[in-house]
Amino acid sequence: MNVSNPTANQIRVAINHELSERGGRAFNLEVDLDLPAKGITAVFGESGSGKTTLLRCIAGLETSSRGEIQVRDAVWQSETDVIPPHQRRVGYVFQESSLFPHLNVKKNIAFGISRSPSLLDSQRYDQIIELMGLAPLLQQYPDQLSGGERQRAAIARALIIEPDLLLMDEPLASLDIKRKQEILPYLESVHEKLDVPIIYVTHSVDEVARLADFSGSAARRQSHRQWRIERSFIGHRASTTTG
Amino acid sequence: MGFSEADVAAILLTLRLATTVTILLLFFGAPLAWWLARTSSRFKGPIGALIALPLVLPPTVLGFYLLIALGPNGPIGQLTQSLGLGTLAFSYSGLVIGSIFYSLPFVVQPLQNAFEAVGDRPLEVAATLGAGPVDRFFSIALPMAKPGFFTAAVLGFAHTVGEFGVVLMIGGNIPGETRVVSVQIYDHVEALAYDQANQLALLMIIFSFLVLLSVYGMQKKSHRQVLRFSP
Repeated sequence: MNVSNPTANQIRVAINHELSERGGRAFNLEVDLDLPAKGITAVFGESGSGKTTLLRCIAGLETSSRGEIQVRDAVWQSETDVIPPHQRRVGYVFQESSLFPHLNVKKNIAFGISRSPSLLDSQRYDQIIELMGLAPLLQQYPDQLSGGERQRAAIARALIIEPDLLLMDEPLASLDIKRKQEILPYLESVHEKLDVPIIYVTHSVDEVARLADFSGSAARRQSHRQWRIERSFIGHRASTTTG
Repeated sequence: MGFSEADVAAILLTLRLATTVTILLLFFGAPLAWWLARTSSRFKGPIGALIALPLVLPPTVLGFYLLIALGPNGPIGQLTQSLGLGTLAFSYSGLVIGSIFYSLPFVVQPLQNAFEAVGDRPLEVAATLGAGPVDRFFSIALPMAKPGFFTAAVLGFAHTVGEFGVVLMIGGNIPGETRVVSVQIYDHVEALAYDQANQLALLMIIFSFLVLLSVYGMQKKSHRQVLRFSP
């Protein structure tokens, strides 16, 4: 794989991951991407095209992927060295609510703080709590929250550790339309106020239109029994083209 | 009519044995259960089956092989002798070892189920938040598996209290050392002291009933928690 030196504003993902599908057929996910390390990059594509697997590989949750991942100056994975997920400065928001059920919102959000190598900037903490509207909910347990509130807390928990890259895997897909409308403004304000590059996997054209600065699609190639995520990330403001 | 001195000694010995065994089993069983719950190793099946063996074997079979192993010519017996500990057969320590094997599945299986119920997702989230593998075990898996620890402790304790065959084989019948309640009942019956046997037997029934009641109560409660926690 030809890996160019990414600039400080780039995220380089060049990986090869063997996927086994139900039914036992193995497919290859081949990714060769240069992503902008700023703004929100939306990735959309049909089910099974490997979008979630791409995020899991970037986070280091798929252990069998091979290749190179570099986020700005940090090498997360090379041919010889794989940094485990807990040593990557990555935030991950999963599709369904994934708050720790035995901890209240405050402790859920604090979980990453005590494990972060950098000191917590209390201003940042206050800013994120305010951005996500969580101040009245800090003492609540996950089972006392609505789906939207849980997802806001999960986003805050991922943001608070100052990740170099935030991965969001269809964060609104498990919410009904009303909750989606409720949470979208929060995501927009994260986008406006925090300088965190986000890779955002979604099915929804509406979310792409509202949130994305860049977009790319995952397409499936049956030839050679490979799936590819196309190298089609073209810098454009999605909202200006679709909305 | 109260309990005789020998009965009280048997009850106290039984409680001491069950407490020791339960603590040791939770300590050693938790990593084992964790491994069984997380591994995809091909040894998972055979190891799981080995641990479950006491569920189906007559206790005398287990007791017989433990007796051979702990005896003066057995591997464990030779080890303990070379360490200057003598042999463990027909001693309290031997009884502890035997009980650990005997009650192992009653502790490991509830723990394994509890760890499996935690699932991958909370551990993955914890990893992305900077928690290493050991940290994830202590800060996420252990607290989320807490109801499983309660069930495991209660079942391990109760099962140790209820053992008989293994005790007879490797512990014998030494007052204050290896004569537990079940053996004491057996002695009473052999001596045709049915009243005394009845007292102890009734105590065991009440104890076992209360234990199962608490386990079922706990399971119901934790089930409700699981339902409450689902999105």
